[in-house]
Amino acid sequence: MNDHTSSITGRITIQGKPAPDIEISLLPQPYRSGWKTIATTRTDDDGRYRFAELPSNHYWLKVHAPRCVNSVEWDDEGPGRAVSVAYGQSVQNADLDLLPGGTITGRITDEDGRPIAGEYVELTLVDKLGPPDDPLDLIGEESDFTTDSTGTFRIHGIPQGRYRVSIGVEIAKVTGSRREWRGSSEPTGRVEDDHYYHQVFYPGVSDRAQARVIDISPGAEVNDINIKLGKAFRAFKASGQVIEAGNRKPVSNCRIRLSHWVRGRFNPCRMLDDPCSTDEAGAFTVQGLVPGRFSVSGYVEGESEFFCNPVTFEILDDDITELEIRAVRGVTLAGSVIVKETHTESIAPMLAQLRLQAVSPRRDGGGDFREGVVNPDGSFTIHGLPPGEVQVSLGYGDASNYFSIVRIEYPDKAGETSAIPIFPPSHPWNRFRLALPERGLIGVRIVLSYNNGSIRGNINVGPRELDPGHTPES
Amino acid sequence: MSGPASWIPGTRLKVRISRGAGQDRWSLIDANCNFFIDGLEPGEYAVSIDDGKVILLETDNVIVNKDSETLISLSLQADSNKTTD
Repeated sequence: MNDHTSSITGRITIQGKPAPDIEISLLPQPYRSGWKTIATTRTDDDGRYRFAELPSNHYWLKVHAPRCVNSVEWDDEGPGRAVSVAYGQSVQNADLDLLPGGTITGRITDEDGRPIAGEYVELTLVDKLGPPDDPLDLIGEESDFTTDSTGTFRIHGIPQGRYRVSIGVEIAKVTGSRREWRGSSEPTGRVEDDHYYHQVFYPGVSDRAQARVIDISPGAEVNDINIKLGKAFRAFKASGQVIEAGNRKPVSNCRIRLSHWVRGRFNPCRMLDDPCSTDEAGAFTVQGLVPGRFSVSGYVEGESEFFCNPVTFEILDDDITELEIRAVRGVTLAGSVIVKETHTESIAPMLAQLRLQAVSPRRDGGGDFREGVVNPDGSFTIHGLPPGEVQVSLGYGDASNYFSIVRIEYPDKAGETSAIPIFPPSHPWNRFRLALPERGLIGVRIVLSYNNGSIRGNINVGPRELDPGHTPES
Repeated sequence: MSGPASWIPGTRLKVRISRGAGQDRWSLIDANCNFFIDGLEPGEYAVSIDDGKVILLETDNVIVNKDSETLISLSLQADSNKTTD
């Protein structure tokens, strides 16, 4: 569409003064860290920039001024702004005024005044910008939240606001011992290292309410935010092996899943990021555990015939070793998919992309997930399921949007065909529960409806154009 | 239908359609202010436009029939006093 390409022009200023020689990148929007840059340019002596030959799209204009922040609306991606380019139009005056960010420096020591290196300092916004009590994250900036070998930290590019500075782990959050959790953390029972410190706020208090709040104005530098930490606590490891029940053959590449006992039930830990799969010998190690009760299980990825039984254990004051997770051969759910009131041939390409999911609830929370493809003739097979309740649903992906399950028919104990009562199509997840017997279930028929209605819409924006800077180009 | 509502130019808009509990679909609106959502069961849908923070306009009784495309046009007022920068 070169005939209708557009341009974006604008000016970058810092407190109203031109910002020369600043690198600016154009990225797709919504922008996510790591996305590919579409174009890059630099501002001229007057802070002006221009991107030419752009197709109509929504863009994120990222300004590489790491020690600055947006003057009006702070964005966690750093300095920048959104720009929308309509078809055949160009955007002028996509300007951005920046402010110098603030700086906080300090030093972290132990009770004897010795420097503590490699610990992460957190800034928490008190009353502005973003969710309260969630640590500030300056993505891609040059700030160093981690203490160096002298225990020193230096955080740049801090937006104007009022902050608490803290270091260490809020242990009640990790263990779930406090009923109300702040922020987005889960009570995983895990910390990120082989040790941890209890959380201390500047100037040296454990009570958040007693923390001294630090005011950051544009360009301000606040030094000597020194904090003394208490003693380091050891975090523990749990290790073991996944083996096939019966022949005790090790199971490699088995994903390890951890659940943490919180107030009477197991809470699955969604993020198990360190060694989370078994090695060639079926061995695994889970690190960073704090005292508490846990359950560990395995999940054999791909079209495996196995499922794993969870093993529970308790961390008191030492590592746990020789845990044994047994992989048991599961049963099979198989049958066919039919689409009602539709010629299957006409939707064959869509049907070929369809997948079915079967999720078996685990006794330690969460569920074991298996997926099966729908073959061109409509048949499907899902292996490795534990007997008992299984939830069947359409898999994720574009094709699943076009279908809904309306009925499941299956052979019962007497060999007669039973049908699952039809849920309304608007039922959340459009998911059905089957009781999977010890022998598995073959001959299941999943009846689908094909949804091919659509809504096409247009938004009339008045009284002005899409963006204040948009001017039609010939 | 409510609106036309005020919208800050440059903010990315989203369209959400819903029909009954738990049946939601959404899509980003392109730079030319168009959107398209397919794979819909026949029925009556509510359509809303939001900017990620607030709902700018809502309309219900949008009827989708089997094997057909429903065309709708919605109006939104750009806020003349605000920009995103």
